[in-house]
Amino acid sequence: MKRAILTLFVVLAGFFLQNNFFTMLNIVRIAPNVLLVITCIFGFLRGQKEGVLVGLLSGLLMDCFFGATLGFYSIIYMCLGYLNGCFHRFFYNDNIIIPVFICGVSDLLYGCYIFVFRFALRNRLNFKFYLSTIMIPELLYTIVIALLAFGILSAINHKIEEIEKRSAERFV
Amino acid sequence: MKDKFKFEFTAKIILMTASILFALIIGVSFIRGESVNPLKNVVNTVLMPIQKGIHLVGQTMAEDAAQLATLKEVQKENELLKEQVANLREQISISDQEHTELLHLRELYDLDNQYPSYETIGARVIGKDSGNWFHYFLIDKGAEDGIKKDMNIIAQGGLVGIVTEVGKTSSKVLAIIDDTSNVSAMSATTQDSCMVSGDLEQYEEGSLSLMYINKEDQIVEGDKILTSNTSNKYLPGILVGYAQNIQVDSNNLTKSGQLIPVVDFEHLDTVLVITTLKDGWDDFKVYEPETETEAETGGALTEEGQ
Repeated sequence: MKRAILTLFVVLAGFFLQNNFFTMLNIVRIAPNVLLVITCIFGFLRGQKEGVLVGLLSGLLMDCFFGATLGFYSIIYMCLGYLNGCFHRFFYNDNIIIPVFICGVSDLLYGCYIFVFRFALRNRLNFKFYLSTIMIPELLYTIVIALLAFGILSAINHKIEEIEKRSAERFV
Repeated sequence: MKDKFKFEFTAKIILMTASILFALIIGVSFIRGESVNPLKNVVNTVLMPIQKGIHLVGQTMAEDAAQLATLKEVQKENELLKEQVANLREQISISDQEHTELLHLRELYDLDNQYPSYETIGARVIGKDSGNWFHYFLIDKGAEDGIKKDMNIIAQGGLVGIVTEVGKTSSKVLAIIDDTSNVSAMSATTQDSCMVSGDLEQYEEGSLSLMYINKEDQIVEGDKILTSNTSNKYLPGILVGYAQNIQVDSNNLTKSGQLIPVVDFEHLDTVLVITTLKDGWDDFKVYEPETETEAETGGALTEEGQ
């Protein structure tokens, strides 16, 4: 229960950071994809199920505020949460390269998804331009955020696991 | 003891069911158009106050940073400021004079009547789409404040966009620089029609694309481009921007170029919502005289024939 509330809180905080805070102080008109980072890291830390659920939550938030149709963002966020969950078995506490790397890959996938469904379908096919002016800067920015977020989220995760363990021991 | 046959929500099942559900929703909304979405409204109303707050935090960040300056600096500043106040007072009296002069000149140029007097509501921008692919933003006025879909948004004397979705207390605005935005427009001097459409590639250089100008039309560089009288959703006569780089297309029938918008979209803070709605083609109905009179005239005609 505690975990669910905390997760909800983290996702909401990420959403506000992304759409109300970072967009106000954006550098070169690009804002980092905080929700994607949170989804990916939760998937990586906790496995597929949690990844999918956090992805669903963040996707729904994006859909409700900025989506053209309900579900467009939810699907990609959920899939990314699931994919990142697949890497859960590579999770060690001090390994930071893998989560940051898969966050980066996820961001590229996200960019491609939007490019294909919202741009290529309308005959805007200059992939090179979108790659160089949007996807790559967003990728770099996202990686920086991922580095920070992984530290924070894994610390939170560690704390909760300890609490859960303690309360479990109490019942034994 | 765990029940062997207990149904468990595994990640795969959640992913599959939710994806299929969303695919269905997307499919349905493509066919039937965006249906009214209660979920969106609920989420909007709940999160709206928080968004407003965080937006304020983001805005006041710079000011807060300044407040952290040490007391000594502040004291030094105080002395300097006192001097400045004296100087500024002098300047104010000068600029007051200039201001009245400006008002006078404006009257002369009739700039006040640049737009037909549309009624407007002020609104604050409280959130932006994460900015990279799309140019949507949220304003803090919704259905409760009388905002309706398709109302035009202006700021800094030019067209900003159009309301695409209305929540209870907030609305979503599509900026004209968005890749999917199209505005039918005309040149202010010659009334030649054209189309202003947002383009991510061109917006990198700060411009929009200006298309479908007839080859014979006299639109030249620097021409004022206004929203067109024939536009379906945009009110006529709102300034959009200035034409640039007009060239004949390869099809040798039309010309196209770029449009420099008057609005600085990177620093939008407050906008004006025009509460007048344009009656477009959707509301257009062929006038039908009442059935009785029709029958009468019909009868008269036949009588005449006889």
